Amino acid sequence: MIRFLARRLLASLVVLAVVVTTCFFLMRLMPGGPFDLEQSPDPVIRANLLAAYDLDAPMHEQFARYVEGLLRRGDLGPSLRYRDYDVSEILAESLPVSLVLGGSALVLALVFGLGAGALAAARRGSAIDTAIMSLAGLGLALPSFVVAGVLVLLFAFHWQLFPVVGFGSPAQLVLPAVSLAMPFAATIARLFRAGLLEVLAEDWIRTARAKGRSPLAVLWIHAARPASIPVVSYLGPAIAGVLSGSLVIESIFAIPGVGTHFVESALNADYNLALGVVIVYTVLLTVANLAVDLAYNLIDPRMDDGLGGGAADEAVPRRGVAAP
Amino acid sequence: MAGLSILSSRPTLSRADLAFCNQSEIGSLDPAIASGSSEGRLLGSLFEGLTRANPDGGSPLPGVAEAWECSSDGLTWRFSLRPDARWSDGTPVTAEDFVFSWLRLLEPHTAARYAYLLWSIEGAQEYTTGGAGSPEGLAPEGMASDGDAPGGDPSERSPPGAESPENIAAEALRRQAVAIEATGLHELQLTLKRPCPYLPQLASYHPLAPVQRACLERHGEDWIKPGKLVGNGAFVLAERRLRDRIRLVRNDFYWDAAKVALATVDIFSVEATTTQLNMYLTGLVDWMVKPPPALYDVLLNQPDAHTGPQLGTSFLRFNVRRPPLGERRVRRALALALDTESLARNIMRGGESPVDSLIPPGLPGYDPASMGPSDPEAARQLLTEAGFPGGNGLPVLELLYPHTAATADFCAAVAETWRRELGLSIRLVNQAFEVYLDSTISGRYDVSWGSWIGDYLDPSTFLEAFLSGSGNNRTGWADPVYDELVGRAAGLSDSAERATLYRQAEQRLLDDAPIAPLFQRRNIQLVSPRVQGFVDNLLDVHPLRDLAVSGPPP
Repeated sequence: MIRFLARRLLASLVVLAVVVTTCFFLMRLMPGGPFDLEQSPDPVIRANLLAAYDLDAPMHEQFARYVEGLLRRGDLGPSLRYRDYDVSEILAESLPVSLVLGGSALVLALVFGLGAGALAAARRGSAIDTAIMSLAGLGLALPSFVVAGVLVLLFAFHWQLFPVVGFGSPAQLVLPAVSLAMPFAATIARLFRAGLLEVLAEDWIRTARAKGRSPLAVLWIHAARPASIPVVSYLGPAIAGVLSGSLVIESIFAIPGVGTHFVESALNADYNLALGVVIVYTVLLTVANLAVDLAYNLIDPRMDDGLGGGAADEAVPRRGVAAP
Repeated sequence: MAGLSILSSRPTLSRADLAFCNQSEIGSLDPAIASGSSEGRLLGSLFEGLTRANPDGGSPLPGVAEAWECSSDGLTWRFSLRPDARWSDGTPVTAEDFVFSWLRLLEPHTAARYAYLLWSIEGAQEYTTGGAGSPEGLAPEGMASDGDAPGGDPSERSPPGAESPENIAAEALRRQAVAIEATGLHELQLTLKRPCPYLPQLASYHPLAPVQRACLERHGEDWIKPGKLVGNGAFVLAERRLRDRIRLVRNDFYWDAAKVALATVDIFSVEATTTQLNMYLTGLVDWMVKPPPALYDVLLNQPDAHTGPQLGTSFLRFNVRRPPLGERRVRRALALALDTESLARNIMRGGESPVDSLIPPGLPGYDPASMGPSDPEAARQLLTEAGFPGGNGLPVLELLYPHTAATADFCAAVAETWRRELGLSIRLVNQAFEVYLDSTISGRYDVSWGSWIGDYLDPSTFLEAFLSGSGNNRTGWADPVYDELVGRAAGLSDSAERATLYRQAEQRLLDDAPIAPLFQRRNIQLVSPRVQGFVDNLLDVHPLRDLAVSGPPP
């Protein structure tokens, strides 16, 4: 177990190094720079600006200095767009917001996704099954800006139950968390239903039924654990995705999370901030995947392949969740 | 969920007296660093310059200075500071504060984008550029690094970071040579190398506001944080949450605090226009700066819609380095073929008025030049004269624009007009704003969308952008006569003479047509009727100290 963890940790560090290096150079190769606005600064002033942020040095020197700062002091550098802030300050402000929003959405997605999936599987072929699966299809198909827009229209304007924007109070959390949870809940419902149906057809389930266990007990005590493996596989990337925020949800509900920085920092050529959020996302993803691999062992000890968790990966192809 | 929200531990703030949506999160609260219109909406409330913006957009009003005078040759300015001007910590604002702050603005290490605003002062440009200033003394953007100027290439200059003793000594000498002087506790004197009749207006602009030396020295780069920042404006910074809001509260030490009606102001940074509109419609804010263009037809008929003309024009740039656009007649033909009246009315739909000049109407004491009315017939004739009858022989031209809904529609209509009237084939190219900027700056386009918004009420703010060395020109168009006219006008103190020369220069620009003017831009915003003192004006300045609200928020 310890050897497994050590190897995974080492591999994660390699991944992080590759990601940081690639992003560092790719961003600087993009057209446009951090200080280009409609009004061009005087070339001398522009040179002063670049010098002030050490951007006039050769790229490999900039990289060496960035890595040195990162390793020695954990310094992510100053933001080039929000010039009153260091990247670490921005992350300290925005990451908790995204974690709270994403965490709430994740809880919602799990509760509703697992519940709906189980209900659909238990009532396979019934009207309820069809209704749930149609809803899940809709939840997957509708882009989140549509869902959020409709929710705002209904619950903020028409019935005035929830605030239209903002972050801080539990009431303000409801609409964005629901909008954010929707596609994840839909996916979880479909995966869990499929997993349950497969497991429920197994011989040992028939044995359990024959022994007189109630349908509920069969479902939740015997079938749920093995049936949740596809869901767990999906959760790795999903957790990283949902916790690192969403540009669309944040912009519709004016939430100062980290998701917007993902996109805007790249557009603004704010190299340091973009690298900072990429590092955060990579760490989240690595940790979530590691947690998932550890969870396989808890769910089904037979899958204890000990050194890599490859068998589970092959059995259930992971659904990739692209960066938000 | 409720448990989770404790994690974020942010106290909920009550509704402020006035709340508004600022379009984007500001880049900085440091008046020397900040640039952009979102920054402009609040920085003047934290820091007050020698003068302050007039809420009706007209001539600046006395700020920290109660009076000023200029010598007859326009080269010596004396400002008398009011003795009761105070910092928000209660200490007095003195002439030394301005000397410190303006030298800081000019200093190369500060890397202030707006340092050039002070370059009419003797020695100022040399200080910023490390001696690379153009010898003839004209200081428009871009001229300083003209290849002919001695040491003008920034790459050959030693970087500001190189702190050899010689460099430090040379910089100290240049610093001493800047002609900004405190001649008394409350007397500031400036010696200019060329007249700058609009100096009082520049002085109201946030880069020229003072910062407190003691505050900067005590807190280092953290001085702009809430609780640390010391300003001299009508408000002080109470709270700042990145990409959320900035809360300002009235500054009791402000010299005119008795006249400031608002006790608290919330400034939300919200990019999405629909989200802004949702906030406005539900009464969370009283003022929003950019309603969604898709809803103009509904929103702009309402009494709370404010749509005043802006000191800005949109135009097309022609890249004269690319044939056949190097040919003047081709450029003029393209410009004259456009029915700007119908384009502005039918596509922009925000009440934009067509223009045939670079400088929009409305500048006091200046009557813009004219390119002539739209005339497709004359355009076809010009094209024939240039050797392309009916558009035959012309290559496919690329029309580049940044991706926003309004420009996309507009450029499609322009392309269609050129196809119909002149038989041209146009390829529309849209790019993300930053990429588009990079393409226009480095000249990778045939025709491109462009806009220019003036910083102050003087023709130079527009015309200097098209000087041959200016980084804002971007067309490759270079006319020594134009440069000479603009340079000569900048050296005059007589305003009528200046206007005449500037008009000649603008006429030359329009006759040669490196650009095709399209329309005057408008400031389109929604302001609740409970806000009082909000006056639409060209510069779109709305000092918070002059606004008031009636009744409780909705």
